[in-house]
Amino acid sequence: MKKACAIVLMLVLLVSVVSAGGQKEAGGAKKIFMSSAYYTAPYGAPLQEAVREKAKELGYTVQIVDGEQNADKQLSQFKAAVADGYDALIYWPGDQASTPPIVEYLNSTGKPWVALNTVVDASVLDQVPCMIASDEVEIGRWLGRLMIQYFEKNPSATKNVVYIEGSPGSSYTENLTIGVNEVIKGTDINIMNDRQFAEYDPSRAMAIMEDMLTKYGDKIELAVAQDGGMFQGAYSAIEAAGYVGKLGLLCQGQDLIVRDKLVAGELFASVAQDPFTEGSLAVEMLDKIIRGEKVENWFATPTGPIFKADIDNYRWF
Amino acid sequence: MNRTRVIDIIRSNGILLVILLLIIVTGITERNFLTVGNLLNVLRQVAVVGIVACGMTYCIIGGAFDLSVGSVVSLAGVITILNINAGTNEYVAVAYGLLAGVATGVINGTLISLINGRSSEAFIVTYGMQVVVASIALFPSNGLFIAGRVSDGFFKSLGQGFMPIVIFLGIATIMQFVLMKTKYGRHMCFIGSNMDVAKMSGINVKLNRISYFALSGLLAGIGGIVLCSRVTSSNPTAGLNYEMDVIAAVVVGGTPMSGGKGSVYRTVVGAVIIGIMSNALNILGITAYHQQIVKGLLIIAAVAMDILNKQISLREMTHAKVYVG
Repeated sequence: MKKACAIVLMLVLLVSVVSAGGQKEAGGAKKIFMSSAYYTAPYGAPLQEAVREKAKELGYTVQIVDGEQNADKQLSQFKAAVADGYDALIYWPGDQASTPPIVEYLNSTGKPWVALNTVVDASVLDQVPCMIASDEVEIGRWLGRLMIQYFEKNPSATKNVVYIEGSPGSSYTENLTIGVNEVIKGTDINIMNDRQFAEYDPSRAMAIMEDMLTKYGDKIELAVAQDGGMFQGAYSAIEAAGYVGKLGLLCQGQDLIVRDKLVAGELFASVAQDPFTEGSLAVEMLDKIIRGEKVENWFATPTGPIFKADIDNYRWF
Repeated sequence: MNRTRVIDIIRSNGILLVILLLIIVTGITERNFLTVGNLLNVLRQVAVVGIVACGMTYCIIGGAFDLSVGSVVSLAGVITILNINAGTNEYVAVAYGLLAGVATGVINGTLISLINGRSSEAFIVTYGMQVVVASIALFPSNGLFIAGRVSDGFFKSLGQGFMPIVIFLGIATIMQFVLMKTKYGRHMCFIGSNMDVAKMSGINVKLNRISYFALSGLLAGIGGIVLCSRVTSSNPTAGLNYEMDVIAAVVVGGTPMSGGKGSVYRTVVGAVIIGIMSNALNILGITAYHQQIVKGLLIIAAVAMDILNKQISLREMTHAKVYVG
């Protein structure tokens, strides 16, 4: 019985490997390899889809793998891709600080490549052929500006804000907070909580918001989340406590959840960060580099506020 | 009360005493902490981890682990929300979510039973299943958050008000009863203590072990559905690392990782301890960095106390034998 099971399992694995191998596209199309640090993140899905679509449109085949936010793993993936004969590379870093060795390796290969979404470390910024990324600090600045705008429209003596952040140690999270602090410094906006991280998890954001409502109750005037998922969690806590409409809401992202709340008039505004544009631009810029054209060193994807009136101007996911 | 008795109480309830101290300090400092509303809040927050931890307790007592529970939490949520959004009856959508959990559990249990696996094999098999199920959860949702188009009704009620607490404590009560008062529960402890002897005693070890994993999968499914109902959305990575929180609840509660004994009641206490600690630290305004340190130390302290207790008990037994002899 056990032998039969082992043989069946081996056959299943063999068939899977052979069929997966059979999917490899033949022909002379150039091959792009992409290591995505955030393969399974909600933002990753539309971005990677946009990369695939644009690559297909321009006649490339593309292989995208999960870098699992692990620089060492991403470096190994690129080394394997170069050995496998890929013609061009796309690098979505997991974190700013870990980018220098990978940037240096990619340059040493002599292959065309671009960096995507996460801004690389300042020490290697000028070594990147082209980087397609939003200015993360600018996204944070927009969150700060929108906080000020909210309190201009809803004057208050206290201006108390609960601010829910992403992951501790993540450069993206830190850069957003740097931007927020830069703008609200010198204003009388009061961030009530001291660094609460929900790790981009709606249920953790919900728990943090519940605890903040327990502690501060109706003293909270505005709740701000660094992404749409955490906003959803915080919203659920606010809804369960009966505070919808009693405090303002603000977040970053183009998730459908965000659009729904903008339409309902419950969300004051969101800050745009468009995965479709980013993914598409990455392949376009890579194509230009392959063809020997000159490209900008940093192609900053547009970021700015989205209000209820603007929702039709954006693509949502 | 003599000195030995006091030491015994501290030995058996050390973690509980530390938490009691935290509750008293927070209660004095923050007037909103010791309110009924906040305590219900804590129970609601720990309900999902607690429900899943009840299933994990059975697995651990039965001499195994189930690392796939986090992925099942994600998968059950995704399946349920997608079905509800597609217009499926809410009861049927919930049943699909639960079915996914049970199916994963049965596959885990069957594979482990086929290879006659102990806890180390269970660790590897369920880890493999965790990766597979996590990927399956990404397919139907294309990796995206899914906002639930949920009206007030059965599904939404599962995560609102007292319902998560009722589900959590209800499940825990039934499972504690089964564990303590039935032959099935006694067999579980026997299998966890010594699988070979249990087999020689005529217990159907394979079927029993499959049932622990099936239950664990079912409860992870229930946890995933309650979680989705609470945030009225699903996230294909919602259950990421949940298994660690769940194992922490079981261990902090005092069920030993070596299997063969433990209790669901203790797991409830473990989940509540972790919940109260997070809540108190949030309310006290302690930053997330420090919170993680405290949480880690709590888990280490729980394991250390368990080992210490075992060593003391062993010493006492040895001492008693020498005395009798």
